[in-house]
Amino acid sequence: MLGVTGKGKGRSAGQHGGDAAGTINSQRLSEAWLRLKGDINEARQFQRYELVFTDREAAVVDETGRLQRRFPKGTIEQIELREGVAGGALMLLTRDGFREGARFTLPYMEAYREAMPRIAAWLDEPLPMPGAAGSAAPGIAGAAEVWPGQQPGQERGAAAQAPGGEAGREAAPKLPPRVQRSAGGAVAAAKPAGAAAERNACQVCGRRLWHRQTKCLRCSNKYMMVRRILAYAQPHRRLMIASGMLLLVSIVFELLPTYLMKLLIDNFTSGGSPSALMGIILAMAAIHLVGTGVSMARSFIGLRFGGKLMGDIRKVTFEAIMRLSMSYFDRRQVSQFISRVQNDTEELKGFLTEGFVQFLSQVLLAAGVLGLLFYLNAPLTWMILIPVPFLAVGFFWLWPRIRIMWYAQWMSIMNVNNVIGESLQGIRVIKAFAQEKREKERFGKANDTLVKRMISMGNLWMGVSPLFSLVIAAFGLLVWYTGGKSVLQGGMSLGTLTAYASYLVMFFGPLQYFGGSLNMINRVLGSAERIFELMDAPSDTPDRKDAVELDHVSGEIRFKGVRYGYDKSRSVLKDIDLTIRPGEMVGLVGPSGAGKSTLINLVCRFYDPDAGGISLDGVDLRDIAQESLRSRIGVVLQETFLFDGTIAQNIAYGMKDASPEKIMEAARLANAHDFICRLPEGYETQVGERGHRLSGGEKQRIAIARAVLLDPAILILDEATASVDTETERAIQEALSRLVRGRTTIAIAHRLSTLRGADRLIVLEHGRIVESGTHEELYQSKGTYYRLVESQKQMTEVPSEVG
Amino acid sequence: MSGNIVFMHRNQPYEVMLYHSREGYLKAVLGGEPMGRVKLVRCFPYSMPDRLISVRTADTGKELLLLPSLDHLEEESRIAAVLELEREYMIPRIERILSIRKKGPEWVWSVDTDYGPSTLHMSILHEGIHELADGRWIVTDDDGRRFELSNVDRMDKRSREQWEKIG
Repeated sequence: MLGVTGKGKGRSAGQHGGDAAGTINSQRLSEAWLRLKGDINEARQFQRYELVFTDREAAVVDETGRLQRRFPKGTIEQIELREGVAGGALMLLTRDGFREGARFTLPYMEAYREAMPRIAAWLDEPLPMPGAAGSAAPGIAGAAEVWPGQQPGQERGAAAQAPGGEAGREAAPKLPPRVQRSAGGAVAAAKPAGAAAERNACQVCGRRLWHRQTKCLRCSNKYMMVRRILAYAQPHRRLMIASGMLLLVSIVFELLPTYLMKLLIDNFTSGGSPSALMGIILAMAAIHLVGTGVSMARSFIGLRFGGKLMGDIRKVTFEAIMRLSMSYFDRRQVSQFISRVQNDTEELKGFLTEGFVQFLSQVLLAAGVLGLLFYLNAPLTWMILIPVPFLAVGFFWLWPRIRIMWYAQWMSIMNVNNVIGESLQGIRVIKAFAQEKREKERFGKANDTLVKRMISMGNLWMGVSPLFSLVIAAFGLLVWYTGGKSVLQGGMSLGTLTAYASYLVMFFGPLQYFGGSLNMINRVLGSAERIFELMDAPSDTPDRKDAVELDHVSGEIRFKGVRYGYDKSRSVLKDIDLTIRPGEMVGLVGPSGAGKSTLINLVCRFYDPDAGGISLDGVDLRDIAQESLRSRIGVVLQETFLFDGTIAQNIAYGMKDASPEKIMEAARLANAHDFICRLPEGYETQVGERGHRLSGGEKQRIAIARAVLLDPAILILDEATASVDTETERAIQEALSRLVRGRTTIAIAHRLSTLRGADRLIVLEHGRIVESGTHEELYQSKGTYYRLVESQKQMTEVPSEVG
Repeated sequence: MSGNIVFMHRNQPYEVMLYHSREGYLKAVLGGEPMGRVKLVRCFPYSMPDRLISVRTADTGKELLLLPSLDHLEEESRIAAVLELEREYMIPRIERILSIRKKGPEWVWSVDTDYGPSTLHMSILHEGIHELADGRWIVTDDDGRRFELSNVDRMDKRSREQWEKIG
């Protein structure tokens, strides 16, 4: 909670901080030096409004520009930012007690945090002399924008220099970067805070957006979506055009035999010649022959086209996944991505190769048949078109229902996949706790839901589909009756009637297909949505266009006022100011949850700080190309992940082209060479999921060798020796001591004794740095570090009960 | 420990003698100093069978030196080393694939190797084939025997066809 107490207590007479409503004049807005957005009103209802600060007052103005409340500066004694769960409030202490200046949800929080030092400075300043209207707030010339969202670049680093209170006053003339001074007029420039919240809402429907697109997927145009899907066919357009041409030909060939049949029957009934009969039969044979050839050619092209397309889409999807930042994966179950890359791309391929072409062919076929029907008997055709509007109504009735059902079914499939994935990942824990039965039940439940949804989807379809058939059959009978009468009366030949009836079946075929394709189209659009969602999700830690590549790194890491929380309502790190000199080894110490691992995650730029900035050799991490940054950082974690491959490949993971000699040297320095040589296949031993099982200590040494080979300027050791026995720890410590020499090192270790070699220890508690110094200094000062050391000593002194 | 690192970058030839004793043990004399019984370890047994050979004491397994290449040895020592390595490493190299068939639940390979013709039985094919590097594979059969398979492109047409069936 940030609190600010006013010093200038000159009360202005007459105007109380009340709810005087009235239209705010433009002068008030033009005098505003700060405008903050709120979205919850005093009655705890969602309502958008602004809290406007001028040099004389703070006022609440609603969306229509009407004044809701005003608090003359003289009546405010204190201003306090109260941070709650998922939101907060700016409280003003007036003579009537605490009043709510603004209440807001989480997206606005950052803007208020940023603004607090400046509000404090404003409150400290005495009221301007009457008549000196328009004078600026302390240290602030002109209007300001306060952005709660992220601002790239170094500017953010400077923002954190004014953590609050008096500092804000000092920092005010420099204007914290998120509080940008406007060059233009106050009205135009005073862009309200909360713009980020707006950026998180769909521009069309206003629903919350998951990944900050401008439009939510519900509002995205289906036509645009189909266009986007088709864009993947662009590189293979030759194949697609060829396929289309063949399609046209095959439709013509599909229509011809029925017409020939009419000629044939008419030939019989009108006593035609055998030569004509022969001609018609030959023509029919030729048509069948060519038709078969065309359809074979189309199949070959389709396969080729589909295969290539599928590969392309899968590749792009995987690339999109690789591009995403860590925070994206923190929030999601990983197993779903396998299904997206595989199944959803398969759906898209299906649509592009089969579905789309088939859809087109059915449209063309229906149009062609309709033309022929009119040609054969126009009045009858008008009659059979009667059910078409009903079918269309049925179609539109079905569409949303099937869409929802399909989505529900997909969710169930995903749920089943997730249960399988999670159970397999946690199989050890399940077995250890003998929870197989529970997992079986969990799976059973997910499975039952899926079965139920599949059945209800089938039910709907099965209920509707026979109705279509019934309608078609009824109109078939109608045609036979009406047409038959016409034949009897001599108005129509028997051949024409037969052809007409056949064409009618062909005409209703596509209509029925459209019904069936509802399913297909829904599936495809669903798949496309999920794939595009991945592709469109912006990385939370994007590379700037002008990001720099690091040339030489000396390794100075500087944290300036860094704040970060995985959940934005709860900061894990607060006000971190820390400079690590090049080549210095710093040990991070503190209880669990103090923010030690988070701090190194920020150094690796897996996440960007919510406030403040981190720089490497004076360059903000956000200005450095991530690949370049990470190639300078070597990481040894508590758990080492080994990829499927040989030990040599795993050591050379960060440096693909390393020579075997270099790999061996790295292994030697990591104390790994000897155990590797003891394995029958040496450096070519298969490890990873399917390979040889290495012990925790062996894996650790491979990880160290990885880091040695990379020769990084910065080294990060996160509990590197936590999961090994004392003997192995010694071997690893020895390797590490060689590794840290001459590198900037940040080490976390639960066993404090392992950090003895550190130049400096930083003690973190509740996300803040509470102590810093060498082991001796900290131990003597008898603070947090002393307590931690003592409690560990007690732990080791207690004799173990087992063994 | 430092001695063997130095060797990799040594400009001066380091006097290494390997020989088989009367009992058939491989022994080493390094820089004129007899080292007793030693064993040879291929660091990269598949991709570099004749390079980067670790010479270790037979009893403790301590590394005495690392040979960058067997070619650096005197002829007699080299022959002794090759013989020892051939005894130690028994990974047949598949030279021809005569057939790969599915018989009931298992896959049966008929192959010609540098160790002679052989038949491999594998119940789960994909778990028995590991790619070491591009175009280089280790095939492990149900009994745990390992076979090296590489350069299939250079094998005869039939071998290539068989491999393509599953590859």
